[in-house]
Amino acid sequence: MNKEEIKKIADLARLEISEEESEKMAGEIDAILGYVDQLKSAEISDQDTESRIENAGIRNVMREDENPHQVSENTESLMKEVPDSDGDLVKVKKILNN
Amino acid sequence: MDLSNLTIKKARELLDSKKVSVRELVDFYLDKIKETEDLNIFLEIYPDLDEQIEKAQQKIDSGEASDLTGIPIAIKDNILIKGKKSSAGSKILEGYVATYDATVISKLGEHCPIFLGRVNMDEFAMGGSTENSAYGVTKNPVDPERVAGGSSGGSSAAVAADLAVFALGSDTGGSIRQPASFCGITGLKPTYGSVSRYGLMAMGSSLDVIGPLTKNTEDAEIVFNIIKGKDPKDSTTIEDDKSDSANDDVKKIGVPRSFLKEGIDEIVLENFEKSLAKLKEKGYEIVDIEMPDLEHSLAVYYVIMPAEVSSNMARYDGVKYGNKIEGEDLIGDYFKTRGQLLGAEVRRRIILGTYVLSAGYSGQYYNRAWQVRNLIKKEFDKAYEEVDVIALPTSPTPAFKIGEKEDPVSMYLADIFTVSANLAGVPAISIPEKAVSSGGNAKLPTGLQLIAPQLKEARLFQVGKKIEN
Repeated sequence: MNKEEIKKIADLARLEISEEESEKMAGEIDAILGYVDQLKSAEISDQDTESRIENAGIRNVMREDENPHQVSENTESLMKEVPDSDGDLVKVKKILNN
Repeated sequence: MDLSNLTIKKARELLDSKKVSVRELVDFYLDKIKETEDLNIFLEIYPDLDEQIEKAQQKIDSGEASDLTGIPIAIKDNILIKGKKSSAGSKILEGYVATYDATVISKLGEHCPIFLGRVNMDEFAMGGSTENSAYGVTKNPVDPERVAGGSSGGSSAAVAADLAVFALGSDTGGSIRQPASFCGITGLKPTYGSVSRYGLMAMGSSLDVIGPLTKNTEDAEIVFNIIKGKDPKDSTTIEDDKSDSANDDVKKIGVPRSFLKEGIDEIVLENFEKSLAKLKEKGYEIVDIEMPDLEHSLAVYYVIMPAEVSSNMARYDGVKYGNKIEGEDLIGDYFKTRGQLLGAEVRRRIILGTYVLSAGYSGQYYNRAWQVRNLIKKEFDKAYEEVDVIALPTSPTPAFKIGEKEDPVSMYLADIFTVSANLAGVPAISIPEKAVSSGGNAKLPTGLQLIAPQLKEARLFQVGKKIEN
């Protein structure tokens, strides 16, 4: 990986990253991916490639959409933790310019 | 009265027989916490101790005490207690106040224990040394020049320095067992889904589990039995095991020998062999087993974990909660907040995770890793047809020096023996092995790791009790 690729990935992840750090991180990520590359050598049968979800025994757990909590029950405590708010509204900068 | 090194049972006796009051017990720990401030273990002592003490003492005085009433506990900084600060060792959550109780806190809370305070950790539980905390490294009480391990380093150091009767931690790839081993205490990573993750800040959602760090196996068992159970607020929780553990005697213990070849400290190998000899003495049959896919565990872990991290960390955007750094526009807010308030290791894992999930690479990395993860899980299933428990060292080295490991891969290699239990979702315990001398006068402890099939924690407790001290 080079630092341009790191910058691209950091953009996708919404992370500000300096030139210096992206250069350093390119080497580090390369080393990690180099280690991880051994996964290619694991022997996987056709059966094991079928479905990762089925093999892992993972299933969706759903519940009825019922018993909502009281309106505004948690509003005050939640709004207290919002960095920028206006009354009971979360405030963000405008995303459409003229 | 000597209150040092109290287990849950001993503290219970003292409190119930009125030989000591809850306040005296709490004061004993508060004094010790003050004396050991240099170790940087506690991030905060909760401001409502008086209230908690009064409530617990009343419960004892009215004869309604249960297992944990009045027992002082330390809580890892990523487990939520309503109305109390919780920062996960990160600047992005500095000052954040939890709006609800984690399920483990509600379950412990029924007993009226004393939540003393929150303890240090690697930022968002990412690390193996607590050096990644935004609030400074936690030093190992055994040797302050060395790390306490991580990510639950504050929890393990608090128990090892005797600043609480026990502590809660979380384990994604070894974060309870490795620090327990580094500090010479007991640490249990329960079966995935046996303990609710509701109110635990998520790191790797298919791997995370909450567990106790304690002074002995019996305490780990007591705490586990209180915090476990199905929870409607965490859909990945599973029913308690209904099998009869009394009739589940451990006889055979398997050792995957070929996995123990390189990069392991001599002291660790020496102590491991001693532990195996001790197990034999106690009547267990020790057999070698083959688990060839175990060697891929760490590679699988370092794909799946960062992938899950990159998704879970998306919520920290400076909009909904936590801290914020202003940018020029909304997207600028995101970039600055996340770029400046998340630490280097967290950002590294977000980038790695985003990469392995990105178009064109997810087949090669993420899907492949899941396929190999399933192989590892099958390998455990197969091994348990032959043996009752698997034994491995907890960590390839004893506690290392602060600042010693600079590049990420060498730090990640410290997880080599612990991650497989998380990948397979099986329970594992680290039992302290006697400290031996290492490079000078320091007596560094190591850990024996025992791994059981899913929901068979009882087997770990059975063997642990037989061999400790």
